[in-house]
Amino acid sequence: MGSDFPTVRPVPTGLEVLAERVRPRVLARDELVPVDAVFTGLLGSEGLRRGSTVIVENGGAPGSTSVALGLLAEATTAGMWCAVVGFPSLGVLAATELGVALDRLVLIPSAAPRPAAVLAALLDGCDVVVAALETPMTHGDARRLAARARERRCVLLVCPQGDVRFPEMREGSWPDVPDIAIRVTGGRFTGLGEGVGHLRGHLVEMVATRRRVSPRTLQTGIWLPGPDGRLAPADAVPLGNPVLDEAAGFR
Amino acid sequence: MSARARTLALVCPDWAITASGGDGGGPVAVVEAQRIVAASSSARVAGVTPGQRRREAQANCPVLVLRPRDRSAELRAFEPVVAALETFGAPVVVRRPGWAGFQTRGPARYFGGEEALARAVAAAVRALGEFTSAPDGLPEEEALAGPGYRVGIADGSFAATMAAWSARVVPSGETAEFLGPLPIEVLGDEELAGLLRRLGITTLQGFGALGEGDVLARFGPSGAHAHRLARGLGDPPPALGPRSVDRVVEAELDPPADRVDAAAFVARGLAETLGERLFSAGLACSLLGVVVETTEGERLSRLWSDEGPFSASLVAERLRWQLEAWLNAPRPHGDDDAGVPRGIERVRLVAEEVTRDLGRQEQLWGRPRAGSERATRVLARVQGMLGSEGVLRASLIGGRGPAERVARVPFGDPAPPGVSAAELPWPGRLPAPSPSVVPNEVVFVEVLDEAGTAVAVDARGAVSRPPAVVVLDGAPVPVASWAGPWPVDEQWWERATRRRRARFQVLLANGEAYLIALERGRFLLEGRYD
Repeated sequence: MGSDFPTVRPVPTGLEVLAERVRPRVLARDELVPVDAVFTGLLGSEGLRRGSTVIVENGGAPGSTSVALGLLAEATTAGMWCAVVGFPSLGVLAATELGVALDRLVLIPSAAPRPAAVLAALLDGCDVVVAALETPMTHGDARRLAARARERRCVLLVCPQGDVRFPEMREGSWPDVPDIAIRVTGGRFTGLGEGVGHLRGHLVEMVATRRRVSPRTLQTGIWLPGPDGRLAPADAVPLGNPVLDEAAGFR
Repeated sequence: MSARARTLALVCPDWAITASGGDGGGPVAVVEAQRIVAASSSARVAGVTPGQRRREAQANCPVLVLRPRDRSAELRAFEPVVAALETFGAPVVVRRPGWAGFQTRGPARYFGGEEALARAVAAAVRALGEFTSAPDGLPEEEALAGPGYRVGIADGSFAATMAAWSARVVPSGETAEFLGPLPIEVLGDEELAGLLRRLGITTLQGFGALGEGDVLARFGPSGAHAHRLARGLGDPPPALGPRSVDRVVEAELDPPADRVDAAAFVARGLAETLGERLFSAGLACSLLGVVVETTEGERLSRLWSDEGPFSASLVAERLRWQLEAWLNAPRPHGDDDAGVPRGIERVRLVAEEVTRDLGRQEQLWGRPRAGSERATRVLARVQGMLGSEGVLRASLIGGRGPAERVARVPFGDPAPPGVSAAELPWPGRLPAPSPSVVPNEVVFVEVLDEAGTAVAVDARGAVSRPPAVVVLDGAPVPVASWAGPWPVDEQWWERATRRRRARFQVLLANGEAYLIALERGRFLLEGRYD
């Protein structure tokens, strides 16, 4: 006969209602590694999604290193740890000029002879791991590393590199499908003339292929940095050449 | 060590000066991080005080001779003094170069009293002839002090240090009376001293008269510790941890380490293990024993005490100085294999004395975030895979070229010298943006003018003809635009390190931009704007 009795459910008290309301959830922005606002359009989000794999490669024009460093800048100033693996010739000075905080940047010049093991270990503890690949990864290693990044909520940023003598790069050195692939396809430097001026700005034009964002491909340009030393979207800076004033001499 | 163990302290004031070669009677100061850490007596007369900024000291005393601090040299020079103390038969504790002590119970009986022991120690130290500083006012014949050293005996190491400063033996039980009239500043806690002064308490006696509970409530564990010291009670009795805590960590090195930093790196890992083990038992180590065994069967051991609990990096740093001192010391027997470096076969750390961890980390916000701790642990693991040189952190230092302005040190090591010079004006430095790729080896390029002859820069810094073609890796690429030359002539006063370079920025027809430099008639690649 016990089943005839109605089941008594405790009425939620005010405190329990409040506790339910303030219970922590994982917020979308906690799942993002912050980036500078100029990259929002390119990435289709306000940051790099944790657990994603991003590839930045040279598609025939210089600028991929600056793009990678620019993507790191906000994360390091926010106190997140970034490791750069296999890039002994990284211009640290340029990194600071693009906004990277050096006290959160760790350099691992060479991960030889077991690059995959080193990368996997770093994915355990860092927020962003930049893998500057000097040799192509095997398909299996690439997939395992991407899965590791996904599991550890860490961003794997792959930058295929030439050797120090800078030969052109092979196509497709990352065998897995990345979440975002950025190819630097063009750009221009401003500030240099015929024996006058000095380099001031670098406009990097690139195409991003995104997996989860519409439209799937997006072409954009970013000043890395602009003539005033700051990152800026392409249309924020007039394309005139400031060097012409200097070329006129001291009149 | 019980709370009121009779302790002999040997204090060498201004040890940094003595270790750097003595003052020879002139004004000498030792500088670290732009601050004076020690000054000789004649420098102090001229107004140079420890803690002063370097420039202020130079303004006060223009003839001041400044020497950079060399901690390993300090420890190396202190090693004979410690060896002399060890002949008295008690375990010697070194708190820092310039402070050593031991408990007097056994030796005092052997020498027939503490006065006699103190005199014998002073005589042994005087016999070393280490002290070349000019006498600072005390007559040479005074038994317990001489130029550059002071010996004293009292209850506990703090009181013994104070006794050494006044070069006397404080009889047992009279420590509180001896300490009473001393100013509150001798506790070495500036913040506490300042606060007590504002409260109207100027002597240790006055501080000691406060209630123990009140002091603990107002000033926390560190204040209560100072209060105990002020009353002559010394350190609280060591709280022995549960038996299950293994207080010894050991590592065998195979192959034996012949480099000091390799052994120091191992010690860092050991210290971390030991620290974590004690931490999880709620304990902190206040006296650490270090034992090193070499391939030649030598066994070197030393006890270290410290004001606060030991951190892993502090242990690694101390061990590095200590090993440098040992490995550079003359061999104890025979010199037939003088050229063969001694290898370190075994490193052992022993927590000789543990106390309850009362939380000496005073900083409210100082604890690293959980993320940082995780990252530091992972980076240490990667250092274990690749060696300590395999994981680096970079900092900006003074310089002109993009490569010179960056220094890389192994992760976990102190920042390199020169960081403070990074923001100084360096005329001739290139404005931003800097090249994002800086080759770490020398890469030569050829730069040709329209006629195909190599471009040169004359003595007045003018370019012979405009560059038209850059040959990169054998492939000629036309120049689209260029700027320069920007000549720099660095260290022209020093023949060996002088360097003259003329830098150019070139933008090539293929869209790539480079920073190149002409040095000794050849162009080399300094960077690529990527």
